[in-house]
Amino acid sequence: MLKILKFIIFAELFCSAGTALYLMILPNPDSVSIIGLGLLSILGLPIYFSSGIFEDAGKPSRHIGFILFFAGQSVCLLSGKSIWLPVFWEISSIGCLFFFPDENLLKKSSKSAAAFLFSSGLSMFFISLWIFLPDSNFARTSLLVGLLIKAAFSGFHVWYPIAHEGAPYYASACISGIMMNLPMLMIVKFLYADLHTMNVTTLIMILCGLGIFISGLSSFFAKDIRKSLAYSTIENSNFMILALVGASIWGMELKNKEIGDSFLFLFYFGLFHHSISKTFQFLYAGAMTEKAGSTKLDDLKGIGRTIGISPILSGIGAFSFALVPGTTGFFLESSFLYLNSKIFDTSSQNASIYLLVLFLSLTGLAMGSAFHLKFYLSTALSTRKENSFLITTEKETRDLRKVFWYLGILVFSVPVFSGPVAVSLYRLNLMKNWLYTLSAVSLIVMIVSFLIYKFHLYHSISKRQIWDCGSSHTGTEVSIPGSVFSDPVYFSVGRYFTSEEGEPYMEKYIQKYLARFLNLGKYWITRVESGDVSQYILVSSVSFLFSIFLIFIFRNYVL
Amino acid sequence: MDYIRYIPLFLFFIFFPILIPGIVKKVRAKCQGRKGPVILQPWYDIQRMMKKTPVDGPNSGIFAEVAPLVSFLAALTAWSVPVFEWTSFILIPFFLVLQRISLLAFAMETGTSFGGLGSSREVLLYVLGEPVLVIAIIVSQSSFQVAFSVMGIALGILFLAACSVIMLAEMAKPPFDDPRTHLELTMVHEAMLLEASGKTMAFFEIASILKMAALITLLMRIAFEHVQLSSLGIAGKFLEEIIMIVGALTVPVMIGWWEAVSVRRKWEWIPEFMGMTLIFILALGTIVRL
Repeated sequence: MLKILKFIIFAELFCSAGTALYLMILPNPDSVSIIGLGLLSILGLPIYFSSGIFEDAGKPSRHIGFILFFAGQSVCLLSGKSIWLPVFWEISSIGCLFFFPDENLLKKSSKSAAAFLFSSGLSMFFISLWIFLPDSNFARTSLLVGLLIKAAFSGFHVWYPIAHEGAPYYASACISGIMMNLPMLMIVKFLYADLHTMNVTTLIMILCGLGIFISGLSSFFAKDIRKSLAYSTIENSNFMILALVGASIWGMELKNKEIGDSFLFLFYFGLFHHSISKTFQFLYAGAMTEKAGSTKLDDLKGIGRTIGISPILSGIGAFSFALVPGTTGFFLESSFLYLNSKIFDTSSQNASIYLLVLFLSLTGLAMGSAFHLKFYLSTALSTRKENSFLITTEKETRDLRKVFWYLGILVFSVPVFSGPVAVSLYRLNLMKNWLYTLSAVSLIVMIVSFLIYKFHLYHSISKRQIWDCGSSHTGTEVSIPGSVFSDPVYFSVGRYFTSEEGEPYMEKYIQKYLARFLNLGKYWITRVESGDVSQYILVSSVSFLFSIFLIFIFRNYVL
Repeated sequence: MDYIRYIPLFLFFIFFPILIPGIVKKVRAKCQGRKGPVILQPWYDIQRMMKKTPVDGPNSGIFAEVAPLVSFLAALTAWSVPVFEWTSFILIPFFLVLQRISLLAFAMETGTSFGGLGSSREVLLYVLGEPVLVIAIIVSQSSFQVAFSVMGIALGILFLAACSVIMLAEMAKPPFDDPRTHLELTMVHEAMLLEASGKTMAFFEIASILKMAALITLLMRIAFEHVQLSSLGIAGKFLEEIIMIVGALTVPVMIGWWEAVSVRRKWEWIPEFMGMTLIFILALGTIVRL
């Protein structure tokens, strides 16, 4: 049975990769499907493989979850405007639910599953509206709303950190690394051409700036590692939507078309960077939280030293987000900055508004980078106070190493090829030399790193002694937690926007009022006697009639 | 003939980092009424350290071995960008990030309390300083021209003043950091290097000097970026480079004086001040754009 399930998973991933390759040779290749399916097959494999490292490898529910998830995602990427889109999207969501612990369902896990389901249902409601209603501005707007909910866009993101809070590490990697791509690719597929006519681009641009800023701050100040990574994902998602809006705004202006095309490339590259690097980070965090039994960043101090992975290998994801030259993060953000300098040269009115967005974005991005540094430094390099022995088995360490090497090679190799490929595919004349330079720099970084390693150009430790403090201490007494990095900034910057736990005030209010709205049901429950069926029938009938009334109003008066 | 402009640049590339730390120390000593060490003293110290085998901490690992070299190479690359302009200045912050991460990783891996303290402060300076530096570079890299008027000159001076603030933070100079005190509790850069010795220390010191050279030259490039002397042909380009070099040589003198007359401010004050600088640059940018 298990062998059959495994075979189906590998067949699905193989088919996704094959379909992506087949689509590439067609006369008019569909880049949305190619990129989506490509990322699914590239990242599906390490996520699936890593899911069996710490959990029972023979657990059938997990395998069924992966089958549903991969199948749902693949069909969604290939489907057009049809009922199959929400149906298979929901199938992939249900697949994800199989990952949540089914025994001793923890409060956190059930809360996460509920948040995930709620957002999925709400999003599918809006997407279904777009499918069943005639083509109009209203229908397109409802599609946009549905996709923005799924993309955890600024203001629509309330569910996202909660969904990650109690999810297993591989479920988080699936939701963030693979599932997050789908709504954004769907925006390109169905809305990109009409985005500038919907009169919302400026508003979306400003919200993106705010989203990057607030989620960057939240990721830096949050105490829970899963929440921090979730906020970092929200920051990335807003960044990619900003690139998409930039592509739409400037792509429609004839004289600035090249800027628009460059932004579109930035969006696609952003998907690669985010998917690969964030999958790495979630899996690395998962390896530690599984062993430490805690998701609090401060409890994880130094635990990276005890899982048997080299600190350089375990830091690749953080290096990418901290923009170290040669990584995908470096390639993406340096191109973003380069494009910004070109925007300053345009006479477009949007450039003035963009200045404000840029200010917010840069601060948020710096905060986001600092979070990844804080996470890495405190977990992988800080000394472990207790249990300094290896806490993983040999097999676990070996498997983890394989996964991290696979993702690490992607982080460093994608930038080397991206420049020439992008220039040939998108004819980006504006950024041609720039992209070539970035690819060359990335290649040089790889070669120099290899040479340093191969020819041992660094000194080997020959003598050890600690000079600091005295009192015969060995250094292990000092274990530096992550809060050491964020707490000093909180009172001067953070307190105006987030709570001490890193939760944005805005989000707290949205959650509060949403909970009040949803609690209306409690009011009804108090009035219903147990077994009073007629009451339930009454509620169902009223809801049904109200739905028909709404459809009637929309059909005849709104559309 | 265009190659002529590279002769002074090449000499500048070699000799400027050799002179900077000595000039700063000499000027500072003179301002305080002392004779001060010879100009090349910092390099004599580096030479002495280069001959010694490093002694590492009990918890040191791979970063203690590779970080000094990586830090040096990153700073060297960052230094080459503003001098030869082989690519956009936008790449400079990324190489400085690599240099910074090497240093942070070294300090954290050694695992001392002061390493942690210095790293924490360094991350704070990075978070608050990076956006300002990046905005300054983006503006300088655009072909945006400010009109030659009183207003234009005033805006240019204000922009340079804001850039200088961030350069002081990046170079670990007062009011953000004070390397003179040798009191670990007040330091940022030096606190991270407390456990470095021998060759390791020498590489970090050279990286720090190259970083300072890169930032000073970047500041000068930003200042003279939109001065158009190209109409004078090759002579104009040559003149541009000479003006930049002379300007760059005056900055270490000013830094030396600044170090002599100023003190490090309270740590709580720094985030507010950096935030104000960021808002100031934003306001300036908005005024210019409008």
